[in-house]
Amino acid sequence: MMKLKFIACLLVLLTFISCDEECDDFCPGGPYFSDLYLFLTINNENPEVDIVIFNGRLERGDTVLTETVTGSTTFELVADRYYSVTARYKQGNKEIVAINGKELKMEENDCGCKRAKNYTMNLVLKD
Amino acid sequence: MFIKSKIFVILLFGLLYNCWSQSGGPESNTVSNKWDFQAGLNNYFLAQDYLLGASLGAINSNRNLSFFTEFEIRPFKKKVLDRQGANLYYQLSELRYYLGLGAEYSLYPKDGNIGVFVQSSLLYTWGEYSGTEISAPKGSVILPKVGVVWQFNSQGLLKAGVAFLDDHIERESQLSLFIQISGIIN
Repeated sequence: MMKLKFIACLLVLLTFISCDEECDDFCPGGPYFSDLYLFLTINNENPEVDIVIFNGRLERGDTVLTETVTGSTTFELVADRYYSVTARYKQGNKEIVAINGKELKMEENDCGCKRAKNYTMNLVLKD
Repeated sequence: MFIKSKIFVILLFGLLYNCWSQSGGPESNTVSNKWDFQAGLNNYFLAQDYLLGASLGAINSNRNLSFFTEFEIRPFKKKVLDRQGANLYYQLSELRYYLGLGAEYSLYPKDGNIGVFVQSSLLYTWGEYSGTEISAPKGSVILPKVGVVWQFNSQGLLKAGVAFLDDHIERESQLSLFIQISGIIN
């Protein structure tokens, strides 16, 4: 009886320490997509904000998308690339273009397969 | 700016040599010339800014003198405004780095483990803006510091003081609170 209890406990223990995810023989192929969450300022002066996302640095001029948004938003973008984002604001008689950039990198999961990481980007107006 | 920096460094090293001479001098047999390795973790708390870094160098505990190299980094992106036209501004996200050489002289009361220090570094600063090729300001800066040092054991030092970082970057104040913890490896 004691032996059976010991084996049962061992099986329960092995269940907990075994791999969380089962690995397939092959990793899924690309393209891979990352979620990029943009933090924006929405206020009385800026109820909506014009966003432009560029592939690479701003100066390259390689526009991926242009959109007018009414709040902080998530965009799905092809991973393993550097992106620049601009957000156009009004502040009194000033026009402020907030610029930021980030590389959306890949990572490996427990099975050694590539997967896209998700990112955030701060384009909030300076105080 | 660079000529001013050079003059300042010459004066600083002259002052340190004078302190060294008075505390024993190169010909003295009474004061040890033993230099030990020293490593420190630096923190600069500025107005709406913060720098984190490390110092590595040599210290002569008997002469209370040390020379070091230091590297500082702003561990986050700071938002800066860059005027582009009459009413058009770019709000840029800046990363910033500092690398340079420095020297320190400290003074302790007899048999005391709390003293004062004066320190200065000549640093080169550079930066980068995320998402754009616009070049960030760069150049040499002087970073003088003064404060209190506590030798809490034979190998540990804790320093707190005031630093003046005149790096021509838009800030409310160039003064910063400086805190360093360092260790001496004999």
